[in-house]
Amino acid sequence: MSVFKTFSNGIWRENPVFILMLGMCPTLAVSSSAKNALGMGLATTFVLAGSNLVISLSRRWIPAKVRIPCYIVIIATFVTIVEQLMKAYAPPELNRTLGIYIPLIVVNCIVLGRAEAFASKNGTFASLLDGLGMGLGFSLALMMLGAVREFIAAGTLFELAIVPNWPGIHLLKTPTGAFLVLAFFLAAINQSKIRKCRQSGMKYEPPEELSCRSCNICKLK
Amino acid sequence: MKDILKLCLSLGFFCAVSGGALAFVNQKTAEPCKRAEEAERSAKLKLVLPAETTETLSDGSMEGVQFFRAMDVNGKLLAYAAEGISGKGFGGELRVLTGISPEGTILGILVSKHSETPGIGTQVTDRKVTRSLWEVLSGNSTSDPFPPNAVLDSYSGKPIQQTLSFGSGENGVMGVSGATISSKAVLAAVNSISQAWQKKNAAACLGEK
Repeated sequence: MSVFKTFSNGIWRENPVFILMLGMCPTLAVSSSAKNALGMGLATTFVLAGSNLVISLSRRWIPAKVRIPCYIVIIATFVTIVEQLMKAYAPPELNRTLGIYIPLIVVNCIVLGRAEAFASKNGTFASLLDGLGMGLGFSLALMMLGAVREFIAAGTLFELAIVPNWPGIHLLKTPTGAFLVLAFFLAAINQSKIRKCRQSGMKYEPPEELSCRSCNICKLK
Repeated sequence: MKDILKLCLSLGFFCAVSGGALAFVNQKTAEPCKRAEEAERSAKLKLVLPAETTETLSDGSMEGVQFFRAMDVNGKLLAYAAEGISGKGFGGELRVLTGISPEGTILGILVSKHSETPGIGTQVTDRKVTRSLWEVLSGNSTSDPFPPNAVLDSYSGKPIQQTLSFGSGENGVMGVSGATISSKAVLAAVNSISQAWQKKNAAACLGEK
């Protein structure tokens, strides 16, 4: 795969939120405003890039049988570093809202998923790029959801009012709203894919590497 | 057997390395973490205390309520502050920070921590003004660090020595219908300060005798 393709893979073709559907817990919880989404996205991007880099560097020394515990240790280390750095330097308001979700990045499926599916089999540079791309895709998806939710709920974007006297629909700020907005996003993405297939005269089928049959977590020896 | 040993050793190696990395980061961030925490607390205290306050000192705690003293440049006592907790918010714990004059009048209150429902409970708990994009772009925006909130402002000027309740009387404060639980939680937190204040003063009187 070319350098650009490795990087852009996570942003669109295998977007963690919209296509792979991994890491839904923080997605639904933290996308209540654009600012929170940005903070969470950046933290996850750092963890993804760091853990991918270290795991691909040390993949030759990790015995296959204990690789999952090893990955978790590496990921947890990066998450704790992020947590400490945020406590020390991030604005207190962001700390308060993201507080409990930062430690949960450890169990975010997308981080372990990329370690297992990509970093354990690919070179250091490619893995770093994959981590950055995936993190960026995650951040963008979170920000899109966050922006839509924040705008409909309060008429603001990044806490700045865009439309004065907006009739706020507070439902969108609650987890219920997250499910609703995500559903609309997914429907639109699927519709555009189906239409593209139809235009080229083919029947739409999900790509093979994304279906459950070829997921290698089930192929443990 | 040999296999297991190898697995243990390699996993142990990764744990040791990450332990070392974490110890390093922890040591490096310990100081800034503490500073950030203190800065946040004193920034919040400043909002409920008189503007002349230059120093705030911890003044012990009583029944889970934390007390602070506010001093001016010359070290004269200006006011007290206290943080009360109520566990009965709609989303769990709710903390209220209160500025108290030396005579025992509430100067101003602020909800320092809560997990209330956005848009419903936050009507009671948040002091927030939304600036519009146009105001910011045109440079007309003024950011008030202590924006008004009718419910929270109704506590100002009330005596801390007495138990407050909802209503229009002398010790009556406002609530929001539709956000009853959040309103009650704020009231409960302030009343917990009120009780701790009385006990603290009683203890101080005994001490003086």
